Amino acid sequence: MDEQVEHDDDLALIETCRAGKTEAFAWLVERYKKMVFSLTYRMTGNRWDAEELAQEAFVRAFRRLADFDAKRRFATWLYTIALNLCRDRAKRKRIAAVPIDAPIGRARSLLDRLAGTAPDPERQLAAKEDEAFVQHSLMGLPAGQKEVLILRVQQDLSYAEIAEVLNIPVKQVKARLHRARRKLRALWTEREPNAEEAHKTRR
Amino acid sequence: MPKKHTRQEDETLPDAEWDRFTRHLARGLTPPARLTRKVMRQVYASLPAGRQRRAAPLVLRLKAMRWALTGTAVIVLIALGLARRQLVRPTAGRPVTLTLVMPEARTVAVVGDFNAWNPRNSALADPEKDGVWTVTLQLDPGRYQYGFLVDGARWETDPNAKWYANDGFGGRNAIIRL
Repeated sequence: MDEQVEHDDDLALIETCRAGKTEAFAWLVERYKKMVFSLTYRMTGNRWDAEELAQEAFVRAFRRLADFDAKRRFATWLYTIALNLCRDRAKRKRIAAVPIDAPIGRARSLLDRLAGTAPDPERQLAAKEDEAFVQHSLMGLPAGQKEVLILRVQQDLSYAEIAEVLNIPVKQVKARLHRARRKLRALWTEREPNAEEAHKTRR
Repeated sequence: MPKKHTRQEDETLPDAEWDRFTRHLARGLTPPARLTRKVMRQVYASLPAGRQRRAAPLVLRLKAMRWALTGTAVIVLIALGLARRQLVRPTAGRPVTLTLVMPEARTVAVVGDFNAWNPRNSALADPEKDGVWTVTLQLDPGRYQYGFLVDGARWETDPNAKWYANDGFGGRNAIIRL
């Protein structure tokens, strides 16, 4: 969807909510739940915290709708709220690393879901390896660098948008990205040869 | 959507690793289907009582629309011959048989926490053509909320469940505990 149309749609829904038709907020949740959940999942590394934080982010956004500045994109405002919650959570407790293939929805793992419903063992293995690789890479980064990288790569935000979300100068966004990439390179060059071999063989 | 980050700015990284990392990270993750419901439940709970009542009917319409869409998807799948009599694939876990007596139903699917509330791959079968629809699921220990989707559009609560929970839309979900 065109960004301007999306922005206008969001504003219309927000105005509807402000006018007392609360149910319009459900459309905003539907529109942004994947983005917010993906963000909180990557920040926390586990599905339970991610779901709770995504839920909290939307509820907090609803409560603060009156403060929303129409000049901003709703998405970037929502990211700011979600990331603040992730930081608060991280401060309150050391989030323990959860196995990447921990069950999701109780019966199926997130990786099973990523791999689709077909029981294709090769595809599932590939998805598991990719997921473990991404999550372990992210866990090797400090929170500030991780935030910038996720907003850039996963959420596809521009430098200016990232700066707005994090309330830091664009220069600092670039510096953090640079440091994140440098750190990743160091992490990846230190990886065990066996893991790399397995990846090459699969491809 | 075209990615704004370019290859050039990332050239200091090993190509294959960076490609793999960005490709997988950019995919995003599917949130649990219950997320919107849970958010809206909290949102309504925070409103004054008068506004809660006024807001409910449209939410029901939203829900009805969702079910209508998923129902249409189910019917299309059946028409394409993709539906099978027993679509829940056995995995590790304990077998649980769910039954719904519904002679007038043309299709029945079970949706719940165990299949992300997705009616695909969860059809009940009525091989005897006697209106007794059954499906056997393989579930890991846990607590699951679920319901039946009849003819792709109508929500039915399992009358045989031991426990129930408010579904946040004025109805009830059945609960199974293992």
